[in-house]
Amino acid sequence: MHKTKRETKIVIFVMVFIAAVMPFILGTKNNYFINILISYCYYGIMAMSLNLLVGYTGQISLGHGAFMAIGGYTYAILTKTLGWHFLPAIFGSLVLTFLLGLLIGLASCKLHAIFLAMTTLGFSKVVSLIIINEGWLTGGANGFVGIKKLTVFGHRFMNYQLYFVALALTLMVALICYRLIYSKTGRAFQAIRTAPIAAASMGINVNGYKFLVCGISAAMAGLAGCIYALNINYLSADIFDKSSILLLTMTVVGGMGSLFGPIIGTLVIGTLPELLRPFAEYLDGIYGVVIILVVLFMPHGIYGGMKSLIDRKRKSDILSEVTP
Amino acid sequence: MSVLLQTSKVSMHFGGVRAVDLVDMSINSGAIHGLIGPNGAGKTTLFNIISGLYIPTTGNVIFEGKDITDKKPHEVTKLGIARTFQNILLFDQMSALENVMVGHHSRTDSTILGTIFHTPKMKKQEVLCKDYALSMLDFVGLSDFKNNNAGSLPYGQKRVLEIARALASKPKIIMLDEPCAGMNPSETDYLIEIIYKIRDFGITVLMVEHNMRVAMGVCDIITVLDHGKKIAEDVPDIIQNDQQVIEAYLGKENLE
Amino acid sequence: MVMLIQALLSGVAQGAIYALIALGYSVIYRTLNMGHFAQGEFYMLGAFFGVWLFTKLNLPPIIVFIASGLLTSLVMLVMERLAYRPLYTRSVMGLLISTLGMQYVIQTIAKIVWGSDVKRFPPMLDDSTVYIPFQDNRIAISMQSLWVIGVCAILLLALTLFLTKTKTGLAMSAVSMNRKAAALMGVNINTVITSTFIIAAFLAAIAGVLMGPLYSVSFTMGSGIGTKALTAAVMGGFGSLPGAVLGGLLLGVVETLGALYISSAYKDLFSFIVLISILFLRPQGLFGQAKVTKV
Repeated sequence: MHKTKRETKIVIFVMVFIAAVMPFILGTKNNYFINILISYCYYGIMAMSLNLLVGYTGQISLGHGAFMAIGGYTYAILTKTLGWHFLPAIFGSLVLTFLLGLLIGLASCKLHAIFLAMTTLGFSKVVSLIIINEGWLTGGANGFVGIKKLTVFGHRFMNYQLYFVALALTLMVALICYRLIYSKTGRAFQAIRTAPIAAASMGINVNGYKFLVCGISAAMAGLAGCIYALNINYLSADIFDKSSILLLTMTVVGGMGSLFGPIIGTLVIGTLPELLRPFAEYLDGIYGVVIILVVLFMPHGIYGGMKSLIDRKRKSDILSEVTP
Repeated sequence: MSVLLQTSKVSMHFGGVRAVDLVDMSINSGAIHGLIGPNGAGKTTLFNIISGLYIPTTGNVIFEGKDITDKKPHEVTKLGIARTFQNILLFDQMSALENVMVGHHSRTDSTILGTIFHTPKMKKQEVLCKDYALSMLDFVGLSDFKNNNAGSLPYGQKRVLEIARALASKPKIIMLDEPCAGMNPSETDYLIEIIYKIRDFGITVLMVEHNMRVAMGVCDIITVLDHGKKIAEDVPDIIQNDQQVIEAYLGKENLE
Repeated sequence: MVMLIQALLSGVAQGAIYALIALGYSVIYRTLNMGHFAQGEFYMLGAFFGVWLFTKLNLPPIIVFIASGLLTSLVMLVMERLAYRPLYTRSVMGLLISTLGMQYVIQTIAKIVWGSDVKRFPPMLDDSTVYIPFQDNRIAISMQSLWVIGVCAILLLALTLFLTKTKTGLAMSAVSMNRKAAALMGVNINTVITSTFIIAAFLAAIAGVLMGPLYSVSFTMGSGIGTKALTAAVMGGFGSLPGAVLGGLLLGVVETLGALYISSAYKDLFSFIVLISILFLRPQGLFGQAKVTKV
């Protein structure tokens, strides 16, 4: 059984605590900040889901935003157009994204890295084409407007209350990732990434796991899409088109193949647009520069960099204790 | 002695090249069976066919009386055939212990749902898996390095770790692809010891070996391949003096 | 029938442009085994350099083509030195991600330098339309399309000659087959890498100069066509040069015919469907070689 270190537990507890009291510090009525907090949640889920796929299993996806879009649109169509209750609607979009993820999984079993990257990119283009052209269903280029706020038993959720729902869902996804990673399944994922042939010869059903991880990761992205729809109440294809690069930046900058990495990445990169408001026009380029710098100088991201710093310090501490 | 693994008229063609050509080979249960031959004789290709990585152009692989020719690698492993690789394929970023735990993959039956919901059954399986992996590390003498990254281990230990990982799948037969390649004499002796221990454990061994001292000293029976064909199969003493084998190794012209 | 012939012609012209950019992808993949996702941006740079050289400096077309190609190659080499070269010996994933980042860096640089408005590229070559009588109708042929096809054909010929006749070209082929062996045989890998990137940038830039007058020039023009060309390269078998050309032409024709006969809104969908069906039948692409798993 994997044992979590005491310091790690403390860090997690402090992070969750800060996340929970944040709305009260910033003001529960301050929609600007609350919206940023909620964006951490859905981007965090997205980054974790991408990390599971790319960081752990080594399957490159360049169109992960598409699953977020499908999740969001499915939720919007089910609740507004068909008048479903929000719970079955979320469930419905999870199922749909899971199944479409399996479809990509089918491709990942058959194709090598670059071919798969191409397929996922193409898939996301197709999704945005459908969204733009099928206006009767999706609102087309004008976007999908008027998604209802979260309402339970007649109680309409305030934005900060929605944040707690989103936070709870994020923690749930984090827990699922944690359990998957530190288990037989997670070991299989990593084995597949490092040496697929050896993995197969150790009894791992390589294609089965690739197939499944695509589904799981897509469903997580779908959930993020639902939260997005609930928060913004408006959907349009180009937001999701752009989010693919943003997500990749978050995952890479935070550190792929580690549990904390994507969360750190989300917090850092998610805050950038707010800090760089005057340069909003050049934001994509800034992401680009950041990505390249991180890949060049911090191959394991911020998390990996911090970890090796701490390890080094620990080692020198031990050395200084040993040598008088 | 009963036959555990058998290849019957197995051939593998790559384009026009016959990497393996109509090879019949029977491996008896409990034996240490050697597979030797000059470079390019088709030894590793034969390993790949048996372990399910390649599907042979013709012929069958029979394990415990069942035809396993078309089985996928992970199914073959589950049936009880484990292997190591000529050019070490470890999961470098994982610890030695985790590597061996991956080897035990097919012997635990917890599902993904069980993992997500953290069922008691799954927790128990994890503990058992870890214990088994530890015992395998102990078996090959790597207990002290269980938390080291596999990629950071020295070369010799990597080879031994691969064997531990293969053993963790509880095989009936283990296929070692040049276990002693690149090892110094004392490491080689240690490895021979391990191979005997594996045999005494009740596991059949099929090994490709280039080091003739090892092959002749350890193996009960040796099959010789040359250009994809089986040219001899017998006990080491006879193989050593077989004219065809000597020709294959030294080249005909050198003898004349 | 007339429509079909006209569509085929413009499909081939469009396809020839895809082929030029796709060749860049494939030539880089062949040498370095890396997918260069920023490739489409060099098409955009080529177009911008072209507008600048043609309208501001009033240079003759032939000089515009060559100078734009050289300037774009220069940018490519600087970027390669800064962001790619340190990564060749590290993970493939890192390199891939670096090229993705590069795509946005170049776009933003173009936006800063030339602004975000759409620029008009005045026709540089003959832009008249020729009518050829056909049965009881007539076929309209735009000279631009012919120019595009002609220039592409010349470049293909030049590339073939370069790869088969010059020392560097042969060295590139050697490296693509076996990098280690080539290095052992005394091939200068750095020269090979440099020429690879120059070829990739040059071809993309020429494509940009050719297409600029047909559409308009803006900093976003590269990403869409880059994806298309990558589709073409992958379709043809990534790393195979004839495959890239064939994939490009196929894609151009399929798109134009699909837009004409089925739906122009879903034009981009056809390329994806063709890609997926080819990959499912031949996972290595049309001209790609199946990899034998070596252990």
